[in-house]
Amino acid sequence: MKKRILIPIILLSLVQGLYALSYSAHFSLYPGAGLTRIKDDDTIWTSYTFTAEVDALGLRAGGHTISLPMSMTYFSDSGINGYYRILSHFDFNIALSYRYAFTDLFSLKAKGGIGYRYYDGIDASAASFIAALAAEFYPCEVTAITIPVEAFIAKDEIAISIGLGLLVRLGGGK
Amino acid sequence: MRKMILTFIAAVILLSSCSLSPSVEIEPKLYMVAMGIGYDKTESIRPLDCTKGDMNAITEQIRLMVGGMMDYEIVTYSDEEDGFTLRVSSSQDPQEKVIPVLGDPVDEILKSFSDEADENDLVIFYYAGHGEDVTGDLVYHYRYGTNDYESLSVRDLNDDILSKIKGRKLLILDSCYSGNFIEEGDLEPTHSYDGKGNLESFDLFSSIRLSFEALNSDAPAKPESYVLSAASDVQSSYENKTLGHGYFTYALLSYLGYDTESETATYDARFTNDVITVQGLYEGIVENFPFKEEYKNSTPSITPSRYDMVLFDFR
Repeated sequence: MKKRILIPIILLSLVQGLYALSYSAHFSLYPGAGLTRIKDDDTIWTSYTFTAEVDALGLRAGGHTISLPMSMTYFSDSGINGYYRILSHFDFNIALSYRYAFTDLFSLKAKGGIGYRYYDGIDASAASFIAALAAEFYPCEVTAITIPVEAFIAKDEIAISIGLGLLVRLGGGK
Repeated sequence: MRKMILTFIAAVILLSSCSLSPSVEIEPKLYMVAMGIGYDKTESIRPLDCTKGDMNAITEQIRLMVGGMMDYEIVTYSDEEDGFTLRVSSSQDPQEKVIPVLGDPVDEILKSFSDEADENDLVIFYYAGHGEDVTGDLVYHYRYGTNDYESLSVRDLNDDILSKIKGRKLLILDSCYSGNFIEEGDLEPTHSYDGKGNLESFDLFSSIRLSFEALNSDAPAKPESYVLSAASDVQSSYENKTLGHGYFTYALLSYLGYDTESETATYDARFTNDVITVQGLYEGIVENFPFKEEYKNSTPSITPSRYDMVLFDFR
């Protein structure tokens, strides 16, 4: 049992020896455009999206940051095609993310996780998964412009959202 | 010769790359069957006071709303003084034809339509009457003065009737246990009910668990037919003499703009340049439900699907 506790502590202290670990937090808001494809349906359904992400459980070591961001993405109703449309819904996600700062001005973030989707108009839900890649441009220490590309995967469905928004970093630094 | 071959090839390419006949978009037609059963000609089944009024109000309101916008054929079916009777009207012939039901009611209803629905047509089935305990089977027919009655199960309705009808189908059921007619969808309803059939408060963790379990479901994303039911599969539905309607139908009529005070069909201007969809009807029913305290034990339900179907397009 002691071994189980000691090994991570030793590893962490070794990593800390190489890099100084520090707390990292990011908050972002971004509108976007969504494209949804459903199995056995040729239509590509379009909708607007809006995402709020709280990324407050991060650890930074040098240019590397790992964190557990939580996000909420709203998909609007799609346009009507034929006699159908896709209903609006909220996707609540928790993910594991990795961010690397290439320079002081530019970072790239990748994340993957699971989610709970809620269709407010019909009181129904579904399981979902998320995978995303975001480019972040830091014109100043605290604020960045973020361009995330996110894939939301649910049963028989994949939706891609491309956003453009603002990110606020607490603590500054890379 | 070479010129001829080139001309021939050019003509073939031209003809194969465009359609010879311009595509003509055909307006959908509405086929509607409305049943309102009062059970006042039998002693073995408790009579219902509002079902025939429900049926008449809903057909009047829909006839008014779609009139001039789309072709329609509407058939009503109810237990009248001299027996079960069909009343048939259409946009071509608005004068009601009265047909006594002498044979199998389902066959007679299907025969009363002048033609068959195609894939884009809208087929609405409305039912106000008793649903059998537990199963929710629709008690749609009985023999006058006897204890004999016939009911329609989910399987009868889906396998023997709906599967043979093309078109976009919506079932509106104002009856007890009508939630049984909602087939499993690829989404999971967030409503749950206790042992007495009362709506429970939302449980996030249970909903998350059920959502992940639904990943194994075989249900198609787009349902064969949509159902709007007055109650869940474990609940009763109710009517109120003062309202003159069942709670569920009253809410539906209110949303559609029917004047429940004067009992007259009216066109509601808020639908101008808008569409009415299945999800819109469900939200409208929930918003207009007359007795909020009764909502917990008679909860309107909907087929859970990410696809919403357009019923009427006023744009």
